[in-house]
Amino acid sequence: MSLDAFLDALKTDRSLSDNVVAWHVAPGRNGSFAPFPDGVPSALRDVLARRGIARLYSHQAETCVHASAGRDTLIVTPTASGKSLSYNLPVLSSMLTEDADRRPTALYLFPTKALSQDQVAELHGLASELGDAIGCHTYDGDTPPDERRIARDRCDILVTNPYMLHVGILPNHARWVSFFRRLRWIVVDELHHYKGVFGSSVANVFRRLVRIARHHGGSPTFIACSATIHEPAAHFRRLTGRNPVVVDRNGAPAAERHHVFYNPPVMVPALGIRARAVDHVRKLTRRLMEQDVPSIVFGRSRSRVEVVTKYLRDAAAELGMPESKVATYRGGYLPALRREIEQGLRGGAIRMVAATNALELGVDIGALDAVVMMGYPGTIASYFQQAGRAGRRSGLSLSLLVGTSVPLDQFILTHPERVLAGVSESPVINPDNPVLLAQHVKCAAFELPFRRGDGFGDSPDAAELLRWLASEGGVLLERGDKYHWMADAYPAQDVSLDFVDPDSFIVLDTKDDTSLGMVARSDAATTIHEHAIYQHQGEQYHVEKLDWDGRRAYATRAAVDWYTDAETETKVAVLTEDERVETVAAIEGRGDVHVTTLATVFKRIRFYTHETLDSGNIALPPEELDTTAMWFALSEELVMRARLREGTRAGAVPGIAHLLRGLAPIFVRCSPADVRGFGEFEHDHFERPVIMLMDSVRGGVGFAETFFAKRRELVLAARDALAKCPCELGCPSCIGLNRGGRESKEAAGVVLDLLAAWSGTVRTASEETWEARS
Amino acid sequence: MGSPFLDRLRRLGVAPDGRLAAAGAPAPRPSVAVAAPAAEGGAPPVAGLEREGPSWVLTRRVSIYTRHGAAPLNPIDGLPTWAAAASRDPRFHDIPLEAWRFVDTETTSLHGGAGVWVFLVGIGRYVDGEFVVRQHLLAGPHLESDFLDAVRREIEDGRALVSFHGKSFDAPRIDDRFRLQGLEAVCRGRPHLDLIHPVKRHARNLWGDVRLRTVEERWLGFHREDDLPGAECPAQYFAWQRGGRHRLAEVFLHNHLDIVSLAALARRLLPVYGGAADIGCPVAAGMDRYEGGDPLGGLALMRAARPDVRVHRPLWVRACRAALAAGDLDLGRRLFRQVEADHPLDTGVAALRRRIDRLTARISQVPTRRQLAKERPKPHT
Repeated sequence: MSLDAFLDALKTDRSLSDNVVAWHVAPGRNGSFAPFPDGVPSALRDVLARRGIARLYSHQAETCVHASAGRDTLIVTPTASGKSLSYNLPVLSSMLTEDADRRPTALYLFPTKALSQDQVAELHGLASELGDAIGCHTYDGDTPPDERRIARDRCDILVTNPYMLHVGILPNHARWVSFFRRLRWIVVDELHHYKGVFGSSVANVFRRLVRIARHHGGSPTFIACSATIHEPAAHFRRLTGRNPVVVDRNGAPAAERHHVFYNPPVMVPALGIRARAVDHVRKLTRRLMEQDVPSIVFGRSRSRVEVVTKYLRDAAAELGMPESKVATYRGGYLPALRREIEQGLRGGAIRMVAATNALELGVDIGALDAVVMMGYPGTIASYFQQAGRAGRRSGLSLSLLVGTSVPLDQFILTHPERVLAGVSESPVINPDNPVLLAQHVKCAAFELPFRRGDGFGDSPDAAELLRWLASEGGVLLERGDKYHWMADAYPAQDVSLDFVDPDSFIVLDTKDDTSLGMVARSDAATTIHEHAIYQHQGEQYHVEKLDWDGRRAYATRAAVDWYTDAETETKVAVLTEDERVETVAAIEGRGDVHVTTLATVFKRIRFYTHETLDSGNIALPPEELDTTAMWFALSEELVMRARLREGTRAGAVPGIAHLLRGLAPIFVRCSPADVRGFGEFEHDHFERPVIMLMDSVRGGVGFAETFFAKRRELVLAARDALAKCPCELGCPSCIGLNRGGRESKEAAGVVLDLLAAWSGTVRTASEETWEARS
Repeated sequence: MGSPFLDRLRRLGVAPDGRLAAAGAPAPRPSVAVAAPAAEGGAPPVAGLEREGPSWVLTRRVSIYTRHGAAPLNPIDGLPTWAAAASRDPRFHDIPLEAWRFVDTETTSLHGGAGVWVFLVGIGRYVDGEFVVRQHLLAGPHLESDFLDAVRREIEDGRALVSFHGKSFDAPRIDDRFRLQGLEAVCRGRPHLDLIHPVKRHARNLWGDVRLRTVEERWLGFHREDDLPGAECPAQYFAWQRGGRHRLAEVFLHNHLDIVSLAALARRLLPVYGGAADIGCPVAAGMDRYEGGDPLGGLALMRAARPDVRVHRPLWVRACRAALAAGDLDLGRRLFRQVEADHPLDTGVAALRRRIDRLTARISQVPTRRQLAKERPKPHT
């Protein structure tokens, strides 16, 4: 087999094998099967038998038994293990065993519209073959009015997304009475997808949903599916407020899979600059093409994928292969084109596909033998989802990760065991973020009056919030023993599930006034100030004018060989100290902070050489943010021991903040933009050097709490990453560029060592006096 | 205020109405009257409002011999038949005028959704030489089930609904409230003459809009003075509920006039379906009858159409086709001349022209053998 030849080359060819930093073989596994549970009607068994399903994987049968008994069930198994049948089975069984007028209903939720399409196709197929008039309807923004009415009146299975549920269905539940009265199932696919602001909002939407179902007499059971994550049950509980039965013994068979981690060599040792990942991907994919191995290349951005596609096409030409054997697969492709590519892959007409990460979920592009990832996809769940693209048929498969130089990639490449254990970071959510809570309690009060003393999920603050909205807010009216909505508004319309702060700027092309993109207000001052270079799909645009109040920026396409980088001054005021542990090394704590960020100057920097051409001032209002943070306020002993006051060694403080932020995604499922790092040598509040990690969302969605709980691991990971970083002067993979070079890198190492070593030692009174004496 | 949670909310820029101020800016405090004790024990908010069991009702009587603006209110024969045509619902044939219920509601928002209250339901009916309007007020959100009971009795006492825009606005809102209380819907399925639809068919091309205000000015000769705009009605209800100063009496008057206008409009417009009105469009009425199952009556009405009306193209084209299909080439040509004059470049109109030319040519031709065969007397068998 041709993949064998490629694997041999990877082992024996020194130009490749020298860069392989980890090689792990996951052995193949036989399936574990179970018969259909008793409750599955024969009609359903017949339909499945016709599709070649005569028995179930053990986890499918297990799920069916638990769910049918009315237990909330969480399925935690890898990609391609037949999850959708796991939930379709109990749902359809229950529908077939009841009369049509008392037939239970099911709500299927997928995080986005695109994700639901393949699932719906399968479900429609099953429902129509069953022929028992099970009404299965999709209800989203694209559903025409007539079909909406039909869905409302005759729906047994409703497929929708959280956005539609939030703004369309729940506020109008009077039109859905018959659906909610019979509601028995809430199916939530891709549970790990519900994280950050979105997850926190959806948790509140679930609180509203269950309230409404109960009001109409429905008592729904949740069935959820998740990729393998840390503490999946805890995430389920935070999201739904319930404790699930966890089904995590995967019964699906698997083929042997090789996981190979590949780190391009260091080219400039002083700066830790490595060979570009894309060049090595080019080399590796060419070998794959020579061996005719059907493969997919994942890239982190569309522009990179386009570059890779060009390389693949060039390689095809050199090898005398037709260009049509190479395809690109991007978001926004129509189903027909998707089917065409899938068909091409199955039939062998297409051998190489380049795709963005956006396509890792829910889209079935068929079976391949090798997956090449250009850069770590950000989370372990994504890694396995992408790796799962290969080896669906049988035999051997390969997952090849080619690292880039960002801190996270380098950490993963030096700690492959973290990924290969197969357990993903836990998603962090905080349904009780006060801003989100206030908004969703409003939506809930609009939907149904609250009784005095009613809770809202398990929020501890709901009662107080309701009193406030009634007494001062003038949107609720307390009458009888209830709070009634009494205002001329439709609150769900003003509440976004994706942003706490929906305030953003639109960037317009001066040429034809078309929209180039949106920029969050918090980033506006640093990315679209006047004279900034705004990057859009690999092209540069010069910002001519920024209309701050009108929330618009006007930019002109400019072919320049420089970009701009803004400098900011950040002040962080500590408002509350919700937790405080004082050790010999530091005050470790977390609480509320007020952050003021002022963009001061911007520099024009030339591409490749990074030389500064010139600079200019930015005169825009400061950005204010109230959020939560966790911190280390370094003790005097530590400052002395690390000699932070000497030379440029103080640069270690912001440097460590940079490093911690870069490593954050190892511990929680988040993107770098969700977290901000901050380091200041003389911080007003503590009168000590402070290293902080902050939630970048107003009110916080739980990152600070999580990082505080995991601060020990975070420090150890940072110490490790720093020690293993081959650069000499500090680089983007560790403490960042221009933070004081060799001295501050060395100092950062000492600080992290001491934080790790001393932090277990909680300071006692006698030590305090020792400090005072010395 | 001393509560850590509320302090935090304020700091995060959440205003007491739950809205989000721009980050960092202090949230504005809305000026809201402090909630007064529940309204049920207090004096009626509007003079003449009376208790009926647990419900508040205001009853006003209008003699059928008075005029609403320039429009008469007195019933005439034929209204049920014409209503059947105008609503295209044959059930109206058997429903006497006394069993019609003229309905208009006031709600706390135009947005819709479960948080919108129907706080005033006015229902008018003909009884013993009078037009009686009874307006039911929701005395407080906690008293809704009593209020809905009263509304249900009022509606179920009649057999049909008459409204203006009620099929898509008032009726679903009322039904939603019933469903939210766990009760059967009361409006759905009932014969319902929503006058906005015939008004659209009759007058869409004459006026810029088809609001009830416009209908009153153009057809009823009724002009409102100092009328409270509909958009300000919710605020008056909120003010009363919170114990503040309110103009609820004006809301009642606004609602009352809407209902009397409904009756006057029905009385004034429906006769066009019998060829006995000086307003409206006989072609529109004719098509309502034609498409509603009375083709002969419809064509007869259309023949009476004045030639000087501005033409609503789709309706006219349909009417023209109907005339041709019925073999009335003369009427077809007449309707066509009007639609052609107004829409000379329209492709649908061009198609119609070809069809008329074809038919005209066929008629002027020597009769075909088949036509002759048809005309030849059948041999006795």
